[in-house]
Amino acid sequence: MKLTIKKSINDDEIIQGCLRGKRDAQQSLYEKYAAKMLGVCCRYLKDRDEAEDVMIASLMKVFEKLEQFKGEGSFEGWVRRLVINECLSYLRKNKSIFMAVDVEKAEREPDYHALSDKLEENDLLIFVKSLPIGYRTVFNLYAIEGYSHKEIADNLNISVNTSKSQLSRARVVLQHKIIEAEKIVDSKLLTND
Amino acid sequence: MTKHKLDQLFKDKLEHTTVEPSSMAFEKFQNQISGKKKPLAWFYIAASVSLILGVSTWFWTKNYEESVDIASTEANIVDPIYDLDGWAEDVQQSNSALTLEQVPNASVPGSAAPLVADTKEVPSTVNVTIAQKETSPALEIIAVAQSKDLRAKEVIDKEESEALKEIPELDLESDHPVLVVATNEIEEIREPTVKPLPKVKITFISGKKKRKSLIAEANMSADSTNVKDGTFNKILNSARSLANGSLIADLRDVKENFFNKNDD
Repeated sequence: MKLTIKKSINDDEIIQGCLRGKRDAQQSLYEKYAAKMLGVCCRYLKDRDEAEDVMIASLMKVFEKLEQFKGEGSFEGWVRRLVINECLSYLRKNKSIFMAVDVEKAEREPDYHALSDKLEENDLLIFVKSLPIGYRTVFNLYAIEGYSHKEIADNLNISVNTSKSQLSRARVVLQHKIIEAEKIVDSKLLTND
Repeated sequence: MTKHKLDQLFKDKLEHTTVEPSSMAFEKFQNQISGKKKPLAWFYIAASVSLILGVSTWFWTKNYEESVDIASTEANIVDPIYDLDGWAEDVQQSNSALTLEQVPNASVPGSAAPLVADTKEVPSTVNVTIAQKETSPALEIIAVAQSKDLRAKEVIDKEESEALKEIPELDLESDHPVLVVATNEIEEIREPTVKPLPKVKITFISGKKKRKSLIAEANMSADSTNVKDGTFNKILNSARSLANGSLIADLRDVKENFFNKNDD
């Protein structure tokens, strides 16, 4: 068995190499961040191919704007913000983001702590992707990225109240899905016993 | 502010989730990188080509303008003396010296004057200008050229008076048909004999020279040419003595006399 040790390149080397237009540095950047950023894109875009296209376009933007990176904060955080902005730009151009859908409140509050062990990443990703586009976008920005309602409102060109209502409806839909998933998991556990 | 439990669950699970891109994604990425460099190379090629074209066009235009300037200057120099009015102003401004030469192939001034009434006004207009600008030596020299018209006028007078002698007196009682068309025939016969005005070549000599030396030089030049009927000063004086509109008046008198005689 042949053991290959791949030399890890840090962000500074990648940045300097990309600034000089070196192909190997660009490939290193892709290898290091493509999967992470595709994970981000998949939360915003249902279609896998669209998500990949936006991810590649985002990395191109990274090469274009690399000179603007001043080293304040992590490079990954800077790349992630570029990817999120690219996703939002894509949604604004190609999708109708907000849909007014009334959602009934969930019958009860699920036990989230208990569920965190039972549900996998992929399950939660499927739940998020199943949300209507408006709910999904606001939920991603607020719950996962940590944006405030004001920032979301500015980014999506909506009011703060709209952002809040979209978030609360997204939470209700997700609660419904989690309760259903909880029931399925419990029934499986019972049958195993 | 405590985070919502649902939000926390999703954040913990999904914030750092990764999705492996397909092999096609890497190919697209490489294509976009290589495709991004091509336009840059083409940009430099296009920029250098346009630069070369621009510089060559600039040089070509500059050379063309210079050649046009030279051609126009030469054209002005050999222009008929009708244009000397405009030249007079230029000469006065540049304060340059002039020498006067007669163009070798130019016809004798006296025989070149037109007989048509419309063209007679032009030389007299030039003479007016000369009379007003006597202070400049250059203008005086130009006046010499104009004096040729004066001589032309004298020749015209002479020719017309001869023509009047040749025309037989109208005998109304004899009722001869030939005499009725005689006037028109004279006009028709005379038209082909009209010759162009003499061309004068004026050469500018840069630098300032004194008035006397300039006149002396011009005098010598005039004597060395085929101007046989007087010296430069003589011509100059006759040009000065020419009053405004006198040439037109003389020609009109000749014309009126001619027709009056025919009417009789």
